[in-house]
Amino acid sequence: MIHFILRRLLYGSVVMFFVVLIISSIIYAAPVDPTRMTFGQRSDNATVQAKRKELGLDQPLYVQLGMYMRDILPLSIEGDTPAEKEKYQYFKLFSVGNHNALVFKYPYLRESYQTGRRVSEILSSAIPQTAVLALASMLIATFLGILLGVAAALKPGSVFDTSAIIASVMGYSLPSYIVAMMLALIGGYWLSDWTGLNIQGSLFELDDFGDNRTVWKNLILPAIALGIRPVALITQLTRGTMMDVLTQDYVRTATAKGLRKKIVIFKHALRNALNPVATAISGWFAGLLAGAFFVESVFSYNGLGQVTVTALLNFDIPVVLGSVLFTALVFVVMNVFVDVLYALLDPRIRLN
Amino acid sequence: MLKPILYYQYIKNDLRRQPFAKYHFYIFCFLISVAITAPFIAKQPTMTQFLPPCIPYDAMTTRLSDKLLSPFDPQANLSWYRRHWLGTDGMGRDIAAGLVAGTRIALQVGLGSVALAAVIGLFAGLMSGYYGDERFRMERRCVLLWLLGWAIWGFYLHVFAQQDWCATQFYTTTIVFTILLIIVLHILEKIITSIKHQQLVWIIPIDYFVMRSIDLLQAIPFLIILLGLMPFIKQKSVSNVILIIGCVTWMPIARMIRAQVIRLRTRVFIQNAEALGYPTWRIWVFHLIPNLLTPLLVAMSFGVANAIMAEGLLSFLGVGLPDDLVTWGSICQAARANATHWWLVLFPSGAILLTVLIFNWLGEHLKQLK
Repeated sequence: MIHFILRRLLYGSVVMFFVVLIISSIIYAAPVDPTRMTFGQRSDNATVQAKRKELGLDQPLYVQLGMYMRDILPLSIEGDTPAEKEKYQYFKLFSVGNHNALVFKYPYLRESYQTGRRVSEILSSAIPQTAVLALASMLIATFLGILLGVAAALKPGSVFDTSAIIASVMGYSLPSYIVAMMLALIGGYWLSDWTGLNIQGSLFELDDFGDNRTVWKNLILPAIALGIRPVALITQLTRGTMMDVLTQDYVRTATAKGLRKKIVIFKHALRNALNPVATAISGWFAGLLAGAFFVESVFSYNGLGQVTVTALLNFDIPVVLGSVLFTALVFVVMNVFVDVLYALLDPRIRLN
Repeated sequence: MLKPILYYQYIKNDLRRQPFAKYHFYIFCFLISVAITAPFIAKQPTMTQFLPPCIPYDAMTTRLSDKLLSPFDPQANLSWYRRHWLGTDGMGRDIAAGLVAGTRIALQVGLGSVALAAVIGLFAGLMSGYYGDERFRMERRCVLLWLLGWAIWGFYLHVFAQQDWCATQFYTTTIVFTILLIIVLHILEKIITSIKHQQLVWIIPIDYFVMRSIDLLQAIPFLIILLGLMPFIKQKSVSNVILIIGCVTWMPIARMIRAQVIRLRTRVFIQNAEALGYPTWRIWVFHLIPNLLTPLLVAMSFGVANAIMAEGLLSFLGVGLPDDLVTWGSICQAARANATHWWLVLFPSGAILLTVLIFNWLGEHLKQLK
């Protein structure tokens, strides 16, 4: 088992290395000049040249690639000076030569062209909100999807089953931003006197005294909007596996020996039907981050997606690449986790 | 005696047996015909015209005098024919005309990008499935020749892409150049191999390369790659969006084709064809691809649905497609400023839902063929 996990981890890190390589190579295909983005049209030549030197734009392409990779890697060799220390905020392990040191640091994702803030700072304020949103919508989706799927599988061909299938195909075909806008219109505007919800707003908001305040009710509409698609998928998957399991011999045996129907369904059948569902759910968790991009921009929910989309419209490339990199990391880690989980749940996978 | 039937007749006969397939196919035909005749359905009527258009407005025409009209507004100063039946947006553009124009762009992007994805996916899937890890052999001199050729291609891209990357002319030139390069390399390969000389034969694990690159591309969710690539387009245009969506969505098709080819490769008719010494292209074109058509069509119709959704998302965010183009997503985007304009959300999202549903259902029907 440890061997299996190590192999998956190694494979994931190789994939991540290539992702970083691709991302750092496309940064140089951008149609904008970083220095002009930072300083605007009117700036003196000396400042621009100094910035170009700092970003390494006067170097050949492979050197620039190497510089970006060195910035991203958590373990690297940097200059042992206070200026470098402030730039990278590293933890020095030991000196290498007279002027350099092997350091351990957070990946340095450069600075935003627009605001001049560090990208890691921008992202770390946005990520918790998105994580809470994704978690909430996944909980809704899991609960509702499994319930609907089991109910549909119990009476195949009935009116409820057919309508559940049609509804899930509809839910699968609806883009998340459209669901989000409809929900904002209905829940946040037409029924707002009754529900008391806002059309826009994020989880952490500044109150009148300038303090951060957690507004939980702003989570409701985005979480439902984001959860519609997973509900549709989980319903279909649960229905399929549940119908497979219900025809098997041990379920018939359990029914024949006189167990109550509730126990047969939830204890014997559902536990075996949930293996593929569990892995699928954790796999989609990372995919939810992608869906969150659009839902967040509709609700002005100040998370990763909102930050990225704003950066995208402003050509703020370091921020876009930073968030793409983060999402890819989550996706790769999740894939490894899913493989391990599958191997844990189903011993037959481990043996192959 | 068995009578051979054409492939489309086979599909037609099978679709007839399914109760709803006919209606879904009719709606599909309706969407296609709207997309084709879009410039004639919605346009400014002229005096000399024999048949007046259904919608007397252009999608682009702005009339600030009647902006943000709801469908239920009295619109007293407009005649019955010139009434905005689905309302107008913030610049006074007719929504019905915008929907018609949006159908054209959505289907262009959907079908175009899936066609591209199918070509790439078919080729990659056939290469990795048919050759596997051991069967692709090449003499060392030929490997070097092809590597040299692709280096020339990369150099060409590097030089040419600096000037007008993403212009329409760039695509035409690149495609012509690529085809010419491949032909020249093939001729050179034939000439080189005709010289008898003891050479090392390399076994190239094509399957390994293709599958690892697919794994790599699928490591990131496709919408994120799409968004990440968008700021690198110099010039917004529909063909760029088609190209990028096509290049990002070929992986599932390639995987599916590979699995099918591995299944078919052990069948007798392929082995007989190999034993008869047919060239590889003949086995592919006349024996493998006809057997791959049905799963390919299924994957393509799901792919169209995904591509249309992706296009809606991109134009909703206002990236990728040109700003002056009216699409379903861009009509929705106009409602972001003020969610009370419900007609800006409801009608385009209904159109997207209908189109995506139709393609998903068609995929489900084609799935039943086997």
